[in-house]
Amino acid sequence: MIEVTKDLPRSADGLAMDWMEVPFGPVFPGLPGGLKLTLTLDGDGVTEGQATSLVGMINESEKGKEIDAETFIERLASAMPLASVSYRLLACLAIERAAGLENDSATDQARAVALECERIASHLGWLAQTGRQLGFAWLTDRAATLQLEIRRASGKRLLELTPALHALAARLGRTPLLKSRLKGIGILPSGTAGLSGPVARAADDAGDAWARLWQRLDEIITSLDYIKATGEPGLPVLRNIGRGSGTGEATVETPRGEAQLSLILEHGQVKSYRLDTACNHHIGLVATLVEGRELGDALVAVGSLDLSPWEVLV
Amino acid sequence: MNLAVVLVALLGSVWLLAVIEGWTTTGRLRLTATLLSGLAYLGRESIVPRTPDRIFFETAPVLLLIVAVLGAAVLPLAPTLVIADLATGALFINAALAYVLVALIMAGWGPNGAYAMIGGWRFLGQLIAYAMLIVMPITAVAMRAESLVTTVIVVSQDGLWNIVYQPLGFVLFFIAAMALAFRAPFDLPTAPGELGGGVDAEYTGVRLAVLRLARLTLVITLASATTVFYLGGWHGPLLPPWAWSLIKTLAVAVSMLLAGRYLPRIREADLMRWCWILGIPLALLNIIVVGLLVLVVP
Amino acid sequence: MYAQAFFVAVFGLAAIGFGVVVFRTSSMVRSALALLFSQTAVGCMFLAMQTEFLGVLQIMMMATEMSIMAIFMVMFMMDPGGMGGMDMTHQKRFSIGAGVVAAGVAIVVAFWADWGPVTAEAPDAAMQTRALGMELLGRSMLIFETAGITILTAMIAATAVAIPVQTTANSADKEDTE
Repeated sequence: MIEVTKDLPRSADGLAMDWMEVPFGPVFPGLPGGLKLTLTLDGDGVTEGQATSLVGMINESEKGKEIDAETFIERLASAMPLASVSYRLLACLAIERAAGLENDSATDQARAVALECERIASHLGWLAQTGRQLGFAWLTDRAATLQLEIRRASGKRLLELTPALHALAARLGRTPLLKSRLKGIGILPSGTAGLSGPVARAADDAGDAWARLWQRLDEIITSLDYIKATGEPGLPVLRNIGRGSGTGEATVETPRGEAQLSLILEHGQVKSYRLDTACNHHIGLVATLVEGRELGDALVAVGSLDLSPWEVLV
Repeated sequence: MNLAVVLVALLGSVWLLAVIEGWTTTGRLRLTATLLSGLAYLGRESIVPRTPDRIFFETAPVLLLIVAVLGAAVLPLAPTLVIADLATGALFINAALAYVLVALIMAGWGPNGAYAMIGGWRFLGQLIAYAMLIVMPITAVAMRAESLVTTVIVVSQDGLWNIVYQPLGFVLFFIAAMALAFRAPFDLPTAPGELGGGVDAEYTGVRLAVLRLARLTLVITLASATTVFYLGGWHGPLLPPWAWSLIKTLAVAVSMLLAGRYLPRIREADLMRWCWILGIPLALLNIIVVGLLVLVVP
Repeated sequence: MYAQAFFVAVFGLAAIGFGVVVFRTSSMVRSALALLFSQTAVGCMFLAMQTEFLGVLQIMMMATEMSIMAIFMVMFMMDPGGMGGMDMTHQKRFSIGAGVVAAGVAIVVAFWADWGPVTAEAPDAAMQTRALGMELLGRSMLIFETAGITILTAMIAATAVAIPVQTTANSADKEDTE
């Protein structure tokens, strides 16, 4: 017995066992579609793991091929289906700055409201996904219904949904087992490199999955208050840039964290661009989050990052 | 005759439970949808995974169904309406339900897949947690009835049901029964969000149909056991005894179903910790309290 | 009477059959579960011999015990699925000898022992359960309690031995070997 197991790697509990490499995804009920998580399992424990995106965006333009500004915006927005408004806004801002347009406060306001609407919808989508992962059917149903309503809603209808969103948060605070399931799981302390968005803001609190849940719920309420104070949302549309040229850079706080785009514009055509997203950094944290955890906890930790595989750059 | 009546009642309850389950998830009450989707399973391809342990793979769903029905065999619907009124009925149901574990280990090991295997072994851990909380409350129930015969246990609750006489035992048994039936929030062996279906993952077609039927039957059997042990079995005014048994059984089964809907899945470590640190001392306390009541109260 | 003898024989043969399977398979899980079903068949023999409580108890206890044994066998064996063609047998000559001697002794005892008069009518199951309870909590109580405490002590001791001692010397040693 000792002779045959002495060279095997030891896991945390000191038992030598066969390790299995098991894929989770790209189509897995508890994880966002397109994300492939490869875990090395030692029984029900994870010894190591990494995440890759199978649907990530290629982060450079083809050499010498210029893209029309409008087409560029459409492409970027449709490449990020989980946050298309944010990236449409990002592209518009970068191109307008490259063309040297001044900011227009009325447009900015409508755009900001649209961004906050998407933030609410995106966080609700994450809640539904978390409900699916935790086997919490009620949460999945409720959050998904609200998400659909918000995506269709006008500013006035949004305000009517406010009590429902408050009730959802209150309900989650009262749900038994939820806290014990999330508290202390997937801890990312505030000094961790590459944190951005809700994950970074939750790191100032406890930095675990429970803190991230409440950070997102708080952000839903904050966004609602902002919309209430500001007005109707307006989908970002490119203003008239003529045949302007120049370099532009823009940053947008997407639902998952900061996204940055810099591009070179020549006669109204995008010559080259460079994109940086929050998920691109967050996906690298997966390996440390899952190592040495139980399988269920590891998946909760990965889920709590709210990774969008589309926003990972390859 | 009794056999046929009980089996029909069991099947009917399973069908009703499936209809209600569909109602809670889709929001529509469709009486035939369950039957149709059950039939559809029979028509679908039943895929066998690569290099399975064929014996285990084929046996597991059938074994699960058999043990669920065997468990129901000792539970009375009415004073004489029981398949086998064994002298050791309360022990026999434990023996039958112990094989749920065997069936799940077979279903986990058989298909030669990682998700299924982890699911199967997870249930072994789950058994370590819930097993004592099934046996100890039943002990207290048998103490009051001074018998292991299920019909005598029901008769002993005439006037005062066990849910009032030993509420602590009822709560522990109800939770443990949900864990035994691996319903949410204790669905660790199947865990759709964690193991992609776990022991269910590799089953398709007619085998999956049998497995689903077995799981629902198991829920009904455990609900029926809860009824017999704690809710006064067939006792009740106006309606005939069998009707009361069925109503109570369905009510317990539906409450198990709904409890899972509003709760996230429990962590394995928490389940184990709470069952042992909290559950077992409470179960022992229940036995002591019931023992004192039996001795002191005439 | 004949029906009873028939069922005792059937379950007895099933117990032997599953017992043979335990050693004929290379899969640890199959082996453990074959042993389980062998023991279950013994439980059914009890039932056929009208000892209901003992039969049901045997059937119940074995399910859990053998499943736990199965996971330990899977954990500690190199080829738990038996798909690697590993030879799991050893000390063949000694074990054959031991098996033959043990079987011989059992047969001799079975035929030579004085089993007393045959019981004409077994008491009903409820009476048996009661008598068994009286026995367990009366004359035999000391034996069972002693056995119980001994097993519990052994379990605690085994767990204590299995947990590696965490000392600084120990962890330094561990790093050396890595």
